[in-house]
Amino acid sequence: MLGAMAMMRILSGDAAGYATRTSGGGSGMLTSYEQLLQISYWQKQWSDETKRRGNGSRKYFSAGQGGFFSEESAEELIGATIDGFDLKENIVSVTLANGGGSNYSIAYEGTDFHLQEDIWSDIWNSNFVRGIIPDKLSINIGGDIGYILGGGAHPINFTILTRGKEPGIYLTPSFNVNVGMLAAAEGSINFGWGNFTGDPRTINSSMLPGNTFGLNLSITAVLGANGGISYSPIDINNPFTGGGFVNGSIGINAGAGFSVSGQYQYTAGAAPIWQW
Amino acid sequence: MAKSKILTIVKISAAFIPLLILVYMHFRGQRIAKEFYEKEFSATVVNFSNWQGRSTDFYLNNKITLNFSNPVDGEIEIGDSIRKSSNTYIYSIYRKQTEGSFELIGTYDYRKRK
Repeated sequence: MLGAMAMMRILSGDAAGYATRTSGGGSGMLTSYEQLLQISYWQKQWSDETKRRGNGSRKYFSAGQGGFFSEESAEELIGATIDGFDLKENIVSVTLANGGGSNYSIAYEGTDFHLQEDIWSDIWNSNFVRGIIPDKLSINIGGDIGYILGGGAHPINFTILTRGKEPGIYLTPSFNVNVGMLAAAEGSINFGWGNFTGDPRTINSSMLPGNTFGLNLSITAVLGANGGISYSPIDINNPFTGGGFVNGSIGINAGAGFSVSGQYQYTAGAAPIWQW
Repeated sequence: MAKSKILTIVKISAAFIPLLILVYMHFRGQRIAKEFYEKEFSATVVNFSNWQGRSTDFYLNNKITLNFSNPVDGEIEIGDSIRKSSNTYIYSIYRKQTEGSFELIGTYDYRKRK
């Protein structure tokens, strides 16, 4: 896909600096999607190259040059979104330049162009560190009642987002529907954590409200312990392929009895308390 | 078997209902995705629902639903035209301009999060 000349120019340093990447191949007609894939591939080449040079600083640039397209197909790129590697780019303008014959090269200018090169960010978002400090932490106080089928409310529920676009502390009140072997009534303080199945850099506060499905276990005499696992899908119609948060929780509870319960939880909203 | 033991088994089994719902929705989603892949259509966004919280469903006039992660910042709106060829997950969103022409707003993959 990437022409040999383009690869040589990138690797030789011609692409260094702010905004010039060139291509010297690929004269075939491409569909819009193939063009987007090609551009995403170039972004990755660019990122890999800058990392190879050991430049750990964050870089931004807002324009670049792509390969050869027909005049008609290049104009179709306006308004399209590049979604690849660790960046997201909305193309807002495309400039055509004749590349010889019936082919044209394009220069595109976009918004919010971002190459993630910060090594500390890479470490922070690595699976190893995420295993120690999860993407999401929470503490909640509430109560549940029921026999076979029951419900409850956890109005005091604080969630800390440690990663993503909007890290911070949020108030996230939630309501539960429980089914299974339930203790008649119990109050609890729970500590929870969760990791996003996708790229943690894309987490935002809009991912806090919504549905959660889980399984809880609690053993209580007067004061006891409880624990549970749950999953919070982004899209209920594609719960696993669409991604979501895998959660765990432990807590202490007051009440009476032993319970094994399935739980549906709805988090009504996320009000920011402090963001950083 | 004592009646109480049967009741206990029923109660514990019931605890797995939420997880079974997730598994059911997964396979249902796979079937719908396959139907989406095969279809060729040109349709219009007629409604939306964001009850899920984390994402918003956009309903097309041909009964197909497109899901976008929140926040949805103008990537898709009511009235947009959706066009898709058969045997692909890729679809394009066009928006009517004031002069009556349609402008390409974005190209998306049904399987990937916005």
